[in-house]
Amino acid sequence: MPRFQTLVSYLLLVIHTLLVFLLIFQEKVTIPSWLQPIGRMHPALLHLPIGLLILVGLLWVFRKEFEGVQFAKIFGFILSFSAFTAALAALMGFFLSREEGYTAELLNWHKYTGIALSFLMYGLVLLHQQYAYLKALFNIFLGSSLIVLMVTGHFGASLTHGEDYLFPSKNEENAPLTFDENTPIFEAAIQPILKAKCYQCHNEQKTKGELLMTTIAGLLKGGKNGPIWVANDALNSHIIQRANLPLDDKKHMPPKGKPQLTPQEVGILTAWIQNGADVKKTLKALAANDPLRGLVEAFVKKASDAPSPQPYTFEAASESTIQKLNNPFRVIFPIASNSPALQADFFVRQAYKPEQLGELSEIKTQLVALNLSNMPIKDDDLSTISKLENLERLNLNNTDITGATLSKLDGLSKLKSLSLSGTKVSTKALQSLSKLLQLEEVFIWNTEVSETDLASLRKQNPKLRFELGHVPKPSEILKLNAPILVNENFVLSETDLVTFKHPLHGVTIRYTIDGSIPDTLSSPIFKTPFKLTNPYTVVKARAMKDNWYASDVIEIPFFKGTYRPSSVELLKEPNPTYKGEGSHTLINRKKGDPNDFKNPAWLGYRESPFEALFTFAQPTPIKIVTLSLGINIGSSIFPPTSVEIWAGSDKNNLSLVQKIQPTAPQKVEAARIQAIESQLKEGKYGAIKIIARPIGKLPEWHSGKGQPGWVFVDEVFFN
Amino acid sequence: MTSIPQKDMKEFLENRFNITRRHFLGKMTAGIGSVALGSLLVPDLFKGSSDDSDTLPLGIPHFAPKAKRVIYLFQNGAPSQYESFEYKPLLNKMAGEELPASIRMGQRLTGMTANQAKFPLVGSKFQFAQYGQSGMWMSELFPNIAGIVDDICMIKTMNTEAINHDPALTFMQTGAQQGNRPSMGAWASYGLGSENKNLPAFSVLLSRGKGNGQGVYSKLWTNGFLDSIHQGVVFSSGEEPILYLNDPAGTDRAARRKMLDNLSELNSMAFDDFGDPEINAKVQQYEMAYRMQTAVPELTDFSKEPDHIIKMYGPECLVPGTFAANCLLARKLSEAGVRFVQLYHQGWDQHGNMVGEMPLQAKDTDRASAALIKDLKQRGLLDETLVIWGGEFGRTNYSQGTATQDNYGRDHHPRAYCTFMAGGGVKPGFVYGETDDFGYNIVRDPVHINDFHATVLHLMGLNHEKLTYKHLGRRYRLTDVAGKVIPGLIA
Repeated sequence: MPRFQTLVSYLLLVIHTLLVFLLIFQEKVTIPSWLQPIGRMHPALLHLPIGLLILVGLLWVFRKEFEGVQFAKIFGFILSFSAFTAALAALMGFFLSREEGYTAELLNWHKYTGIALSFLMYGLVLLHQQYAYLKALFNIFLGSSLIVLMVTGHFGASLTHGEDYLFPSKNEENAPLTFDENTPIFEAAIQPILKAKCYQCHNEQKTKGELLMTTIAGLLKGGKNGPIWVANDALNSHIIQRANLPLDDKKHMPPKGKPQLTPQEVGILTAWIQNGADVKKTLKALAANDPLRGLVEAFVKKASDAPSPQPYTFEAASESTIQKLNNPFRVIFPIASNSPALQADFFVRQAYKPEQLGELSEIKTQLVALNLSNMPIKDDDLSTISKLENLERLNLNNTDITGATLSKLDGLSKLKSLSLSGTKVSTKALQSLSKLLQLEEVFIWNTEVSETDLASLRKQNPKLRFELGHVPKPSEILKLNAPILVNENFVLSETDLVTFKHPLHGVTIRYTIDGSIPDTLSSPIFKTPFKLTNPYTVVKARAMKDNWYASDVIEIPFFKGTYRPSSVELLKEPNPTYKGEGSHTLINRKKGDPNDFKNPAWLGYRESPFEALFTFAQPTPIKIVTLSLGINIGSSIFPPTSVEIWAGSDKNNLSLVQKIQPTAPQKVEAARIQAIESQLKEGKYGAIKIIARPIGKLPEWHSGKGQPGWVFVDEVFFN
Repeated sequence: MTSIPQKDMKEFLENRFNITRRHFLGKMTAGIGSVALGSLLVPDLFKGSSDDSDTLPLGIPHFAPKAKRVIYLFQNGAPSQYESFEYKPLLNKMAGEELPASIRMGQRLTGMTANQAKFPLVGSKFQFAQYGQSGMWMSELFPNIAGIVDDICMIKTMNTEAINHDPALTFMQTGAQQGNRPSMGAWASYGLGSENKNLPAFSVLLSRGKGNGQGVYSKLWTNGFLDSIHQGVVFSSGEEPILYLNDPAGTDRAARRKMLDNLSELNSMAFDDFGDPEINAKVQQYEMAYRMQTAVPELTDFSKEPDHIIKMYGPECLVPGTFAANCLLARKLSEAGVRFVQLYHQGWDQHGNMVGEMPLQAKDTDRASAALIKDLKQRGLLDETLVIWGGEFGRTNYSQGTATQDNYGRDHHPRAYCTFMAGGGVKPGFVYGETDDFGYNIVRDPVHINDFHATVLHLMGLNHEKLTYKHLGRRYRLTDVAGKVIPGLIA
């Protein structure tokens, strides 16, 4: 036998003898402190025999693939060494087991199986030396060793990682906790804190410091240093003292590296101990202003607010079912990540098909919220909905139901919220809701239900919250919006019609074309689009409706142009900033906005008068010349002081037809379009010249007094 | 691929695999080394815990949400807290006196008042009273909001770092002052997806008040580095909120469908070649636009709203592009499952003429804001819809320029301002936080913008620390590296 193996077999004999001795006298053995570190190396060393024994097994299974005597030697060498490490691990494990905190059953199992493994492997070494005679026995020992290895390994891992590590048990978690005034504070707050931060080391399996915290008896008994709290004296209670020690202190609890108590938790523990540390005391027994009450309430609230999956117990629907039912108009989604509960929303009334509701039966267990608002849901559909047994929220706002079949929903035993706003449900129909025991709120705004009905409904169902919403005050009368002109162009062709509209339904629009203010009685009512005949017409319109004040009057100037000159010449250049599109600006049929004088529809004059010559290809029977001006007093754009119209057969034969002096404004007025019209004598004209002079000095009352004013022209029409 | 010349093939292939040869080799060596090293240093590296942020599914809340949707009534320009919700009678008592240095404590000032020699305190010209069972203080300018105080949760202690509009707005909307990060709505869309697949998950509505205003820019509703389907979709403030919704004359639905099918076929070929995810985003957007053609007309048609609803919001709600119209549209969008509706109402920047402009701004918003909350409530939607009302910072307790008998102005103030929320799981009829008697500093329960974001995401069922997106080599969050949920706001 090689030297190494001889040495190992002696050592094995010694260690195993020692193990037998220690096992027999284990109750009397105390481990000296210098040996403790060796014991604590057990978790590191134990991996050596695990790996080696598996290697031994593998070599043995594949032994045919090796050749010659060397294999037997090497195999024997590895086997001896693995047995030696196993024995050493077992011995160290024994030392460790004598330390505090491992008194439980699990530890015993690990201890005995571990030592058994060590003996089995010792046996293997001995058998291998006599292999020629005891082949079968060697195989049996090797097989058992591997099995015992797994068993003891599992027990050991359970000791260090906890029994729940490999297969977490589910039944304990997620139990919905409900707290009320009658829940003992101990259960509501103290136990959850201890569970989260202390149980890990102070449980039945691992009872560090001989302190068992999972039971009330264990807590009251305390650990090896005595009771952990002194009722009414938090500052002298070990649990509080230790929690308040610096983190690096050896006695600080929970130990460094473990989840620590939060200040809030320490606060609750302190206050509770100060309050007497009574495990039966309930919230009810506390005064309303007791600080403990606030702490506990905040804690309980926080715990229930913690993002945890809803306590739904049903199975989740399959991914493919949800995907199949999902489309752009019927959206189905889980209410939260990892929750089996689903919500379904329907969108776009036009896209609704009645069968889409029935198809939800595939997820009738999982569906907890259904939004059908604005869909054409009929009374009969409620029986389909009633099959969705777990529904909690149902939105039927603005659907076509009448309420006649509302009692069909009686089966929805979990329904909490029902929205019926904007439907035809009656007070009578709502009475059937009393059968829905879980129902908390009903929305009945914009239904037939009146405030008096509501009072009786509330009396019948005191637990229900009926939301009637905004009840309009009949006395409240507001001013309507002005009508909206549909036409975009204020220059009408022969076929163009004037059209108004109003966004509110049931509004009457009255208008005038004679400059008067439309009144509520006699002015024409706008029914169909109408035609205008004059070259220049100001249309005034306003909207009216019962229970509303009539709107402001809108004034829209319309222009018509029958003849178009063949050319325009600006005899005086406009101000360079407001030169529009040149001379063409005047006949391009583009109207400007008097508030937007930077628009190229405008020509602006200040230093020189507006002076333009219009020539026609052939003599034209013009009767009326219309000059369209922009007036914006605030921006110093005034009516001209004078307008001269010159007309003749051509540009060299012009004579003054009319000189008009528009009235000058006396105060700041709203920006507007103003037209100046001039009648020509009957005849045919080949050229027309117009001169409009800006005001030289703005009047005293104007902010720009003394400075020259502007004239703005956008268009000239010939009819 | 046959049409691609040989010399370009390498580039195309690299693009397809989204990696070059050098990158690949580089990543290989670095990758194996770092995995080995990492596993030694971070023992949990291969644990694959289910808590890991990477594995949280997108499109579903992390936990059961209180608010399924958000309507954010953003008051752009910073409404003055002293004329709205923050009652500080001391300012009236001490009007004209200098702001004590012990209160200002070196607060940096904007360029507009930095050179001002004096900081005379000025009190509200508008009366305050207590309303509702909660006894919340409200200025006379907000009579309708005063009527619903028992439904709202008023935060008095919002605070930010920015002192100018652009960085402050950007901070409020994206969680960073610089402006390349996704907006809140984009994060919500990214985290929760769209409830209604026929409408954009993040919709933006703009309106302009009568007061001195600041503009809004598309960077406020950007998707940032997120996929572009999360970008805010701006509705037009004209008569047709969504332009070009109708098929052009001569095109029927079937033809449109066929065109889209063929287009998407071409696009998917392009995607096979280039692997650019934006191509797929584009296809999805075309499809959504097609469905929007059916879904939107129902929403933008106000003619079926009963008269008393119109009266509740105020008749301006019939004028497209007003705040009231946007509130009504917001309700309809939210009711139809739009995850995040963001309104911006401009004109709240009262550096001067507080007395003239504040009532106009309040009148624009008060009635419709209150109506929106009441309207959601009566439909049973307030529980699941979070309404937020507030600006980007507060205003100073001293006057910008000299305060006259009749008028004054207030500069920007970042240390404390008011924002209120309603529904969606916040405490109703509740005031959170407290400022000192000058309203200048917070004395209790501050809510930083990051905290506010964390809380809003929490209400939507999202863990702000786990809603992340990896970009430029690191994970980003709306709250980036700060922010904590404020449990005190949650019912």
